[in-house]
Amino acid sequence: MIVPTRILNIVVVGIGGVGSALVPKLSRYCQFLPEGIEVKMTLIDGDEYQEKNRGRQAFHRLGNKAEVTVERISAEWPRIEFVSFGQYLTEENIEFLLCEVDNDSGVPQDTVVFVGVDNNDTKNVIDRYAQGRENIIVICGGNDYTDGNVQLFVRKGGKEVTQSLSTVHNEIAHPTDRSPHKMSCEELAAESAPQLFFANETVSVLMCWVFWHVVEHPAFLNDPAFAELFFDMEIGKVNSYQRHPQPPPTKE
Amino acid sequence: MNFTREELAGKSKLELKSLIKQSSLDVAFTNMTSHPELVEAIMQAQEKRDAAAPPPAQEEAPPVGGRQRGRARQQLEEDQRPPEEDAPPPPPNGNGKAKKKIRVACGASSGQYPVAGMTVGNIRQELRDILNIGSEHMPRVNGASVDNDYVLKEEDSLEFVRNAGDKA
Repeated sequence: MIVPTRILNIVVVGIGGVGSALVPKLSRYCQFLPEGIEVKMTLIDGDEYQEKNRGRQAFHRLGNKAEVTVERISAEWPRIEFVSFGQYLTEENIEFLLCEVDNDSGVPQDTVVFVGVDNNDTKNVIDRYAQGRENIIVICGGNDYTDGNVQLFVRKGGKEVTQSLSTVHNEIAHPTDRSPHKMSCEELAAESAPQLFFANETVSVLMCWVFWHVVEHPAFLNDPAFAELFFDMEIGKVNSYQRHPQPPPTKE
Repeated sequence: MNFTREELAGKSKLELKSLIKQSSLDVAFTNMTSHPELVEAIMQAQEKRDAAAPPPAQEEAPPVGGRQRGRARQQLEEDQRPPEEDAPPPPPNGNGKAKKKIRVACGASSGQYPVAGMTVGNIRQELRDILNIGSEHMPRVNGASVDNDYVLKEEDSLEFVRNAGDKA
């Protein structure tokens, strides 16, 4: 039995259009990582698949998105330890879900959090938690109809390597929407704005771009060449931005 | 000045619409007109305008292989020709020097523009349609937040931070 030298703890928050496109890609890649790396993948979502989701999301039966996805994919990628958490991520459960050590073995783990949620409130919860962590990698993506972005937030040794989600995006620092667990049944049942399947897929691919750098290029985490990508399908462009932490303003 | 199909394809819908208005091309469009349709319409309007214009003074290049070269091909060859040594200098600004272009970006759109000496607020107004800059997009210069009164320097780089995608 190979004793793992490293646990790669992947947490995917949101298994909707982006998450359900992302998980198979991550799984296929992680299945063939070098020996010695133990891979754990936790899928988190309190929502349920409905027939109306078929245009953008892959599922073999109705039910909780996290549970159904783990059920569908775990047999195909046996190297990965899949865990489903069928509730929404909240301020109360985030510490347990994104623990710095493995809950079972106590072994320290490298945590990479993929955020594919449709509300800034949840992004704000994750971002504030991540800002208090010694080490963490957050890859957050979202889209509008034909454009979107992926942002990387890295903390290493207690210091920011890139700017946090809230530092760059005011709408995440001060969300005006609410996490689903705070919404009423009527609000949850309300129709959301239409989305384009290809935009979800593009977000998932750009998240994979970032993840590939994180896993295979250790120098990237010391000085990322980019920390945010914006794409626009209408004009056929992808732009990258560095998000280096800014020094505090000097007093005159 | 005519644009090649490649140059037009690299512009946003807003840039193409702005180009149509500035060059008085005979192109009709609506909000539903797609990007490829705009490119095609501009190419056709340019050809129509050239056909109506008087012929150029110099001789045209002889046909290659018995066929007249297409206009796109001619433009490509002109672009690849090395610059002439005595080419006229770019038009100067008020102090006699050509303005250095500064990178201005918003999301996936970006470009180099002669905006040194302008305030962020003025640049937002000037490039609002070309770069699709919303009023809520916060400005950053060289990665640091600034307000609309900040005056751009030649070595600066300006970004209007587009909102993160809020669907998934």
